[in-house]
Amino acid sequence: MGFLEFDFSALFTLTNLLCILLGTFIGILIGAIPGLGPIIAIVLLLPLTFSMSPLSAVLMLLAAFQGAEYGGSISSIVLGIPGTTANIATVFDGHALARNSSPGKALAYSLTASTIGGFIGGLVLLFLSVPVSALALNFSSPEFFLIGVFSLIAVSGISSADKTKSIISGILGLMASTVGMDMFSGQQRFTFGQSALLDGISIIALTVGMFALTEIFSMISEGAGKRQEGNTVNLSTKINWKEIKRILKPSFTGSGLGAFFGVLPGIASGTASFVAYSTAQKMSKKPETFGKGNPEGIAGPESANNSFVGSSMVPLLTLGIPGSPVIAVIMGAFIIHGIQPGPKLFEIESQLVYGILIGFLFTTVAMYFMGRLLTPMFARILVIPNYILIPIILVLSFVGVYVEKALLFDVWFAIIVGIVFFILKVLDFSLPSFILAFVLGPIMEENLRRALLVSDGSYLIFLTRPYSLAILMLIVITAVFIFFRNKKKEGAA
Amino acid sequence: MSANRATYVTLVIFAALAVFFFINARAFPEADTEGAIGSGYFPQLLSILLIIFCAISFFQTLKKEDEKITIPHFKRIAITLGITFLYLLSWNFLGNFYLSTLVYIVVLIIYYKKSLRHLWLYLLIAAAFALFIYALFERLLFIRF
Repeated sequence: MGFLEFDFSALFTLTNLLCILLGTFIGILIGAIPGLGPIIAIVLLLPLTFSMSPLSAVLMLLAAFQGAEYGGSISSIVLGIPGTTANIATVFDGHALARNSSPGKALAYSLTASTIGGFIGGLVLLFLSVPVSALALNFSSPEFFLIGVFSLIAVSGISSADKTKSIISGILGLMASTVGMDMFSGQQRFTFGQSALLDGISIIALTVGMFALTEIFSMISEGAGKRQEGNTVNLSTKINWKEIKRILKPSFTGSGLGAFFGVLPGIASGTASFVAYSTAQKMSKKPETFGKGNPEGIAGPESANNSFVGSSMVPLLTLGIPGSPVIAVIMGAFIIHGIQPGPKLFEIESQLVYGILIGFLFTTVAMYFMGRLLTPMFARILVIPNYILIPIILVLSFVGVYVEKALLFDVWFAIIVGIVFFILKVLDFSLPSFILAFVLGPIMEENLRRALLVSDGSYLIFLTRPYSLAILMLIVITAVFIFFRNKKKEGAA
Repeated sequence: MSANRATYVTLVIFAALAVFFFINARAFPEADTEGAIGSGYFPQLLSILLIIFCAISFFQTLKKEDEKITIPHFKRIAITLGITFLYLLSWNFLGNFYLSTLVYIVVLIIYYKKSLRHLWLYLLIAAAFALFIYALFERLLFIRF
């Protein structure tokens, strides 16, 4: 099935539109709160997806991802505190413009650039997915196993300052993925007689513990009685054509960079934003005004982090491999609905895939209009004190974990995970490596076993197939690059 | 606490976990089909890799300059966890989820704020939130707590 055969009536249902609006609202809201990023928004929304159709569920989560990337700029601009790591670069000019001129104008630049970025990311997703999935149809078990290894190495290489600890985190994630019933033999593995573990470790309990609870512990550690102070007057996001024209160039450049980085596994949207910021500065006619409230310094990073959202879905939909922790959690929504992303999805669930590809563009439209209408409200929510936010997020997290199976076991498990990962985070172990490995584990094990079954147990199968050999070479090049970059950094330190 | 010492302890725990995984995985039955690998192969492979990388990290830490780890407001985190345990126990054994939730939220706010001023406002916030959960999960999604 192609775009022309897609039944648009399946996309334009009231439920889908409401899900996009809800996802956008929650995404902007959570993204706007300093410290809480898109992953928390998605983790908190995940339990709501059980009763939804897969299309509504995925569109809601993507809308939340998209919304959170824009929402993060609200606190960067209004408070001078980045909402998410992807919005750090926005602080430099966004907060300066808010102080010197008006926060509303800075927010308008951010919203416009985010919308341009969202559309470009959506178009990349729309037009790149089909050819990549066609190529991926040539792949077999050895290639899928090696793509999994490549993703883990790429993520381990950048997600923590200590690469060895990052690799250890990845191995632990893979080990955690083996808990439950073996997909080949039905053998129970590491379940300790607990029926709650038969289906494996709950991804919701795990992600709530790893991301929501550790973040809450950090908020308590930084000061639970804290109330943010910010300029919440003059928040209108009106913008005229002359002002839009001024940011078109950095927005398109930033969008291109964000889309490029989004397709690569292991690169965070924060990296894309920083590169887009420095590129915007280099391309600007007034580079000396960067850091003093230049709108181009807002447009570059904001367009990059939003175009990153759409393009980061390409590896998931076409190869079944999530390239980042946020996408790994979105993959959880597919798994909950019994759908395995990958190239065959275009044949088996074409209505769903094209619904996602086209529906994604509407998440950008929703973000723009919600941003225009509700940004002043979101900016005021920022001043809600932590002592009210913390208990509410805690209860939401527990409820979210409980509703999956109505088991308090999962809630206790999430708390233990939260405590363990809070300590591991302090010790510089990598949470992104762990969660990515956890999601990739079953795919990697299944494909490794299938490959060895075909080759009668010979590992030569990974060397004799041209595609797998090419991926293997890519793995070696990436590992060598990471090793030498690390050595260079150590030398510089 | 010393960062290096905490890392050593963590690595030893991980290595012990790897040994436990390896021993358990060895007991899993082998595959029936020729050339196929059994359900214990992948966990055993991972256990060996974990031990190797724990050893590498151990030696890297030996060469590292030590620094002190501090977790500000650690006591506050511990007390939050204590209150949370009591909340979950009351949810589990007393069964009244909404009342337990209301009390939990108010107690945490008072503890963080260290003041009883505006108690009625906190009660109102907690009640409104409990009502929101009831409407969304129990009425709309038919999930009972």
